[in-house]
Amino acid sequence: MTDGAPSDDRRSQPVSGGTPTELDWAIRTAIYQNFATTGAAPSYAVLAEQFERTLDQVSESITRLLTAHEIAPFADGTGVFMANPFSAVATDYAVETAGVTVFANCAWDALGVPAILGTDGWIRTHCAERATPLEFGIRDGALTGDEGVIHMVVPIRDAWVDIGFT
Amino acid sequence: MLAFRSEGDVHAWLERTGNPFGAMIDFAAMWALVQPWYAGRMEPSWRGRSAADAQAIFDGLGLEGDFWRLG
Repeated sequence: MTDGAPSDDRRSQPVSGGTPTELDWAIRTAIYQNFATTGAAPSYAVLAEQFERTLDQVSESITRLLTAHEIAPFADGTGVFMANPFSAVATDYAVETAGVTVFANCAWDALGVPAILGTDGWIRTHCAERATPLEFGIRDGALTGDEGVIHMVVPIRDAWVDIGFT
Repeated sequence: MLAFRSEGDVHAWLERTGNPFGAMIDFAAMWALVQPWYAGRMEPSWRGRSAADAQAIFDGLGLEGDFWRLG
């Protein structure tokens, strides 16, 4: 019952590689908003339904966002692993805000959570050497709590060579 | 990127784990860094940041040395 016009089914559209598309950026936004409101990453199935795409198309979007250093998927490609500063897995950098408690990827990202959300945020972690509790964060817009330092092994230019290690 | 109670704890960790020293900044300096670093990243209009703009953030905060050079 077609009249020969091109299919309007987005699922049939060919894959494009390279730089992120506008759809890719929209998917990135949805991932970030999900983290900000629930503390978790949306699944590929949820993203596929939201954007009316196939799972493979969502995976391809994530791959382009990875190339752009915006999103890191799990190594097996089954979901979102990181959307800096947010982590999809539990870490030793829990950050409590008024609206949500999230896991940050590392100490840099732990302070990145209140920064990206524009809110206060309280970090509960441990000294990586002593394993003793460290609590600090942003209250009324100012840094307070335990004092300490952050050490980074990987030079910034190599951060995304293995973002999980970084 | 790990948090430590003190610089001494960083050096003890480096010796214990065999990791090389990279860079170390205190919580206050990191708070100063993450604010421009994460500015705008929740916005639907975010389209990434150039290496030059990222370098300008580090340079503006006095984060010098090879560790902080992007290119």
